[in-house]
Amino acid sequence: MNCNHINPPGYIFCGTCGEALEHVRCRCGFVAHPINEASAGDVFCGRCGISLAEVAVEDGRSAADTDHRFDLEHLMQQALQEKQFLELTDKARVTQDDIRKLLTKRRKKL
Amino acid sequence: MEKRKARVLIADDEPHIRSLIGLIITSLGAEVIAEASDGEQALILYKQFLPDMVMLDINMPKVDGITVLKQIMAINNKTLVVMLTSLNTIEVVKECIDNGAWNYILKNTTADELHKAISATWSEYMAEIRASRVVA
Repeated sequence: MNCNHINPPGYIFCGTCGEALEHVRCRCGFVAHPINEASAGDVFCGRCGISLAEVAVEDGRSAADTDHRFDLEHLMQQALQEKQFLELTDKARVTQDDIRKLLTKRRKKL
Repeated sequence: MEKRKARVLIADDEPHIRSLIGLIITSLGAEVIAEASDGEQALILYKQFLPDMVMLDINMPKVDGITVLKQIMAINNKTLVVMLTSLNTIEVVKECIDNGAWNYILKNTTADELHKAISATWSEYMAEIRASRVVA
C-alpha cells in the first residue's frame, strides 16, 4: 500500500509519513521506480541503465516491515541477486593484458 | 652528435607515486623536468617545458587527466602521453586511447611491473619514431 506523497528515487519508505512503499527493484539493487516516486514511469534503471522491462524484479514488499524491522532472509536474497548481477556487469573492467591487446589492435589499424 | 636525454613531466596528486615514477624514469636514462600535483599545474608546466613524455594520472584536483590529455594533444600530438591510473573501466581506457594516449598503465601493480611497463612503452615509442623517420 502507498501513501500519496511524492518521494525521490531510491526511497523505500515515504519521507513524509514513513509508509513502506511498494517498489520495483532492478537486479543491480537500485530501487528503480516506486509507484509514487518522481521517477515513476522510468523505462531504464537509473543506476545501471538496463531496460527495466527485462531485468526488474517485482518486489511487492519492502525489505523492512512497517515497524522498520529488517527481514534478514529477504535482504540476503536481495544481496545474492545483486552480487550475481554485478559480477556479470563487471566484465566492463579491464586488466593490463586487455589494454595491451587493445593497443596492439589499434596500432595495427593505424 | 650528442644524444639529448628524454624530458619527462609527471602529473599525479599522490607524492609517493610521483617519487616512484621519478625513480623509474631516471633509471631508464630519462630526465624528470617537472612534477605536477594537479591537472591545472600539469598544463602550465607542459606549456612551459614542452616535455617529450608525460606520465599522467586521471583523478586529479582542479582539472582531470583526460582534459589535460586533450589539451596536450591540441598543442602537440606527437607528445608521448602515458596514462597512469587506477581506473580500469573500458570506457575510460578507450577514451584515453582515442584521444591520443600512447599507453594506459594501471597503478594497481608492483613497482617491478610498473618499471617494465614504462620501459616497454618508451622502447615502443622510440621504435615507432625511428620507423616513421625511415618511411619519411
